[in-house]
Amino acid sequence: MLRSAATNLLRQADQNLGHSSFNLQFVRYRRKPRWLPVAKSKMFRIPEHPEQSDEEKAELLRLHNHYRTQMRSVRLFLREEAQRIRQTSSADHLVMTPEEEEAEFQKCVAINDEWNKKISEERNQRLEADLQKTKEFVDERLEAFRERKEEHIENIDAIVKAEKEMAKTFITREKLDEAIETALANPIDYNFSIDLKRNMYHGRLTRPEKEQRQLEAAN
Amino acid sequence: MPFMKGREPVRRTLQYLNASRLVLKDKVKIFSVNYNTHGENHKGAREFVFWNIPQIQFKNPAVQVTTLKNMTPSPFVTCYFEDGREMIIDMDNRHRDEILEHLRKVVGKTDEQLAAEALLAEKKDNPANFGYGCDRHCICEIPGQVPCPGTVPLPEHMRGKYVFGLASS
Repeated sequence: MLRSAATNLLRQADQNLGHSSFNLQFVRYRRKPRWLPVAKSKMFRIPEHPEQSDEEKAELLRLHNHYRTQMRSVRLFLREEAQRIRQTSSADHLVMTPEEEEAEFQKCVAINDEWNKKISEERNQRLEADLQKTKEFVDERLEAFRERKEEHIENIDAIVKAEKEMAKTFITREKLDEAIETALANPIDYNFSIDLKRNMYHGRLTRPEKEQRQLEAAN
Repeated sequence: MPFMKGREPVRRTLQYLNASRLVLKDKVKIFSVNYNTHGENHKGAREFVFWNIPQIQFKNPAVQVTTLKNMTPSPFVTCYFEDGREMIIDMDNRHRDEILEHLRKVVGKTDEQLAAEALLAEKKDNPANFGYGCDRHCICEIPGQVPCPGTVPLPEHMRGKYVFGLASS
């Protein structure tokens, strides 16, 4: 600082004198750069530390403790005060007394209670209607199920009845001979033939009527 | 989020976020919404969460806003107040506009309050203002301005007494 001030003074003096090159001085760095090692001359220097007696240490500790405590209390006081001011000042929000606030809160609570009550009634109605609808649906389904079941049982009954009816004509061991005789007595011919006009002639030996008549005439 | 990406990116525009009229009272500390992702009676609540929750959080940065999904048969809002009280607001089967309007009435600041606060904030904000509650009482406190006539008399060329020649007559 001192040196730079002196340099400035010199510079001013130079300007006054008018021959700057004569008194030119280089401004050197004030200390060695950080990246240079310790100077040779200072390498083995041992810095002197003031010795502190125990009493002195204790006294300093006591003083420091006092200082810190006091500063802490001041800091806390200021913080609390700032908070209080922030809460009570009307700088950025409206301030209401606690009674006013309470009254307003109660008013809002009343409005909200009314709203909740209305919604709750509507919800109960809706739930009731839903329940009714569900009940109806379940009843309907149960009814349909029962009907289906009854129909099923009826069908089964009909089948059983038909089978029982059929069982009368079944060929059993006792009826076997009779059945064979009946079959032999009544042979059934499933053969048939079709002509180009889609006429169907049952029997293996059946002929169209015209042919039949000719045949009969020939005989 | 990148610009114009996602569902309804208009929700993230400053204009939209600022457009909300629901500013919660100072006493409200937590604002929680319970709703379901399915159900006809939760539709309004779902839309409210989708469209209005960003605005509410933007307008009330000091309030904790939470949404709880699929934990309730009917949707509701719970507001927790500074003094430990809470207020439950049912929103079953309600449209989101109705919900918003009701919330404004119950836990929001009134329009008058908002206007007054905006005025006060502006007063405090703008360093050009002077008068009560501002940085300075009078413009004459600024160097270069004419001093108050009560403190220093005005220059003679500004005074009618001299301009109209009343002093001499």
